Amino acid sequence: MKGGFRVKRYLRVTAFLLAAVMLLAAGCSGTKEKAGSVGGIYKVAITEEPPIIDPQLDTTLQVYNLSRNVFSTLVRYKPGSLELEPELLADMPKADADNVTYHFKLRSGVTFHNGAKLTSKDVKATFERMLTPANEAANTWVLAEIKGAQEMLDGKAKELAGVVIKDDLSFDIVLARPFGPFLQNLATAPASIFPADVIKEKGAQFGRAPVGTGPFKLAKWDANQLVKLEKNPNYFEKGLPYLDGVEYRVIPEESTRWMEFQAGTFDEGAPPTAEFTAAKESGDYQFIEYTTLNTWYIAFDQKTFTDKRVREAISLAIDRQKLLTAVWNDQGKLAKQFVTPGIPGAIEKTADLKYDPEKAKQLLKDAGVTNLKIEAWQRGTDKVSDLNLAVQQMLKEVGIDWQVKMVDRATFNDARSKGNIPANQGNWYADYPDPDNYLYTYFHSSQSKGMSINFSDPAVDKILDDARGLADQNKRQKMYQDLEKKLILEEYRIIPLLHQTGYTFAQKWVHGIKGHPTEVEGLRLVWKDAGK
Amino acid sequence: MLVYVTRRLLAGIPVLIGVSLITFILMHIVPGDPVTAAMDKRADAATIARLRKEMGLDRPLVVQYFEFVGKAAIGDLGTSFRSKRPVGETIIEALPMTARVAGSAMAVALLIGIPFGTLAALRKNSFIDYMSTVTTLSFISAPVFWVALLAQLLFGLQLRWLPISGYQGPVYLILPALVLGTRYAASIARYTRASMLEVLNQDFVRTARAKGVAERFVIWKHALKNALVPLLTVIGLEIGGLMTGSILTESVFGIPGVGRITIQAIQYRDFPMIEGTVLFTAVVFVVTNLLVDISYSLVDPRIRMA
Repeated sequence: MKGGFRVKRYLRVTAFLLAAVMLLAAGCSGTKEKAGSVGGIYKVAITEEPPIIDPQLDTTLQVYNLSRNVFSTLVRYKPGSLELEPELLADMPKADADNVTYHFKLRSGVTFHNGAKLTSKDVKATFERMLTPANEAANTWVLAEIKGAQEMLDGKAKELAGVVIKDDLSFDIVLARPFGPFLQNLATAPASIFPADVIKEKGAQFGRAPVGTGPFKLAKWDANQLVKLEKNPNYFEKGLPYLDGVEYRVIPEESTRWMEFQAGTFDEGAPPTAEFTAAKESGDYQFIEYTTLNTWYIAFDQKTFTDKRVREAISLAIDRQKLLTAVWNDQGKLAKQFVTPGIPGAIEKTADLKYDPEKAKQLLKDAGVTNLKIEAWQRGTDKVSDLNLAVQQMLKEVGIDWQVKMVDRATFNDARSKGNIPANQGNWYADYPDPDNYLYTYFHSSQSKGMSINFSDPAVDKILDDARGLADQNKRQKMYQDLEKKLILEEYRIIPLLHQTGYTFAQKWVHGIKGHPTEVEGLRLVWKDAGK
Repeated sequence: MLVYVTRRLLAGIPVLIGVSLITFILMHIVPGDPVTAAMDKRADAATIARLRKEMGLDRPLVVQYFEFVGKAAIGDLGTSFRSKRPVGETIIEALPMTARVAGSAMAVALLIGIPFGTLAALRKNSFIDYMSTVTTLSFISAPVFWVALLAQLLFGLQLRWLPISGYQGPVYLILPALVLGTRYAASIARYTRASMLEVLNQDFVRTARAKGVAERFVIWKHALKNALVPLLTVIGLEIGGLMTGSILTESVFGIPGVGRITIQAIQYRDFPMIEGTVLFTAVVFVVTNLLVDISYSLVDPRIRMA
């Protein structure tokens, strides 16, 4: 009996200990999952094959997003935020009082996928590659403000004078003039850092066999079919990435991509517009919303649309609330300004842009305009967009004929670059969160023609040039706010419509997707449930 | 035969030169530019001018054309503006996939089209003939794109019998082959029916029957063999079309074939890639037509190559 009691007690103690261990293990695994250490292969469908994974040469968001997984930049945005943090740097760079010279120090121990150590030499070689004309880089704007950049682009220099190497990990960047958004530019994908030896060896082929310091490295590339990345085991942020790899499969057709997502083949997807509400309300998937920096607008050739009353009439004829609700399923906000709210320097408080068709008619009458026909170009689709259809209907009510001309993207881009598009309903997604990215691009005489705005005013040029170089952020932001009030809210040079909210549908087993305001985000913090 | 083949191949050279010239002229007449087409967001004048110079687009068109032809003559189709890869290599890479889809679709087309066409001819004006006519006309009229989406929805998403898209093995070919194949089967069935009806009324068929030859031999050995001669022309053209890529089918099923690279090249005004894929298409048609002409003599010994 006694022995039996002992056995029972022993069993009870053992069971208790076992339960305690199991509970502890369960607790640990819960913590583990929260920390996101479960791997998996993340599968995404893409509309077309990236021609190259080389963000210096390619200008598409698709390549930028791929690049964020393969490469790293000197600084980057914090997840879901517009605040910068060091990525390849040990600390945030320090600028001298003149805001022309910046001092950089790289993290030590960072290696490229090929095992080579990251040094200052790689930074300089990367920037020089971008600025060497023979390399056909399209994103030179990112580095254009560095001292000596223009000389390189003009073929007058072979070396970038503005990057001064001090030792293996330290270097200075000297600008040609103070440039407010410089660090933001360095956080964009085109400023990714490449290994000096590999870019020299591979030349133009680097983009098909990219080597970076990013969380994933290229494992396989089946032309026009599949780009497969695998975890970089030597990634400099210990414990990251959580995923074992990423697969990008090319499926051009939207309906097919959505069917594959519904079948569970892909981890994230986007439904065709007609299925958006049903997909959102089904509860079968995660619907992840995030703020993005964009403005959808109506733009005109300023040489044609010279009468402010006509431009204002168009603005008054647009019922933005209806556009948002009926066309966008409320996936956005009404635009009250051109520079997206949230960007430091954007106008903070302003009234809604008015909807007043009667006043619009009166303004057109005052301007002596009757039967106004506007040829509005639309890019890259074979049917009139829902937004253009709605704008067309609204303008018709005040007597304006908004004639949508559909052209393929090549024709549109070419005409736009020559300043030949009379009007269009377009959008701008910010490259970096600064009013300069909007106002300089559309209203500086050196850029405006390339966007078919054809605006030219030396006084505005001076404000934009001065604001770029100003160190006093308060003063700088006020300059942009004043300029926008004049150009947009008083003169209606561009008519803001809406700001789109970013969203993605993800399977329920996916974790860690936040979405970034710039729409460019890597997958280093994403993970999937085990077995998925 | 060898002399004939050589002569035909040599005759193809002016065709290829003509095709390359017309393509080159059209590329430069159509609005759009390789530099701006690839620049998604912005394109300032200085950057455009610099890139055009580096790509050699600022040179006279005559110089650009003759440089292309000179290189193409020695098998170098140039380098893609976008991917920076050799055009020839890109096409060769996509070719096996296109060949797989084309081959399987044509197999489906022949296996369905010829028996159905023959049966319809043998049972002229019967219920089978009418049904065959209605079915084939339906398949010809229904847009491939729409049929493909329905097939994906039913067999891929609802029943989960077959993969929806992509290519990771032969099973991935079943849906595209069926969708594309049934469309071609429909036209082959129509041609087979017409051709068989004509042959069945000819004297040699009547003679064979009078001599007491078994009906199945009359049909399959004598009549069908002769009916195949005009049908070969149709099949040859259809194989040519399939080999140069069925753009819609490739897009819907996510198949990485020649059609996809052609359409992308046009979208981005990737001039070397456009020239390369169009020349490839021309070569496929020249060779297919030659093979069809040779096959005439194999089917009908009365036809001699001269």
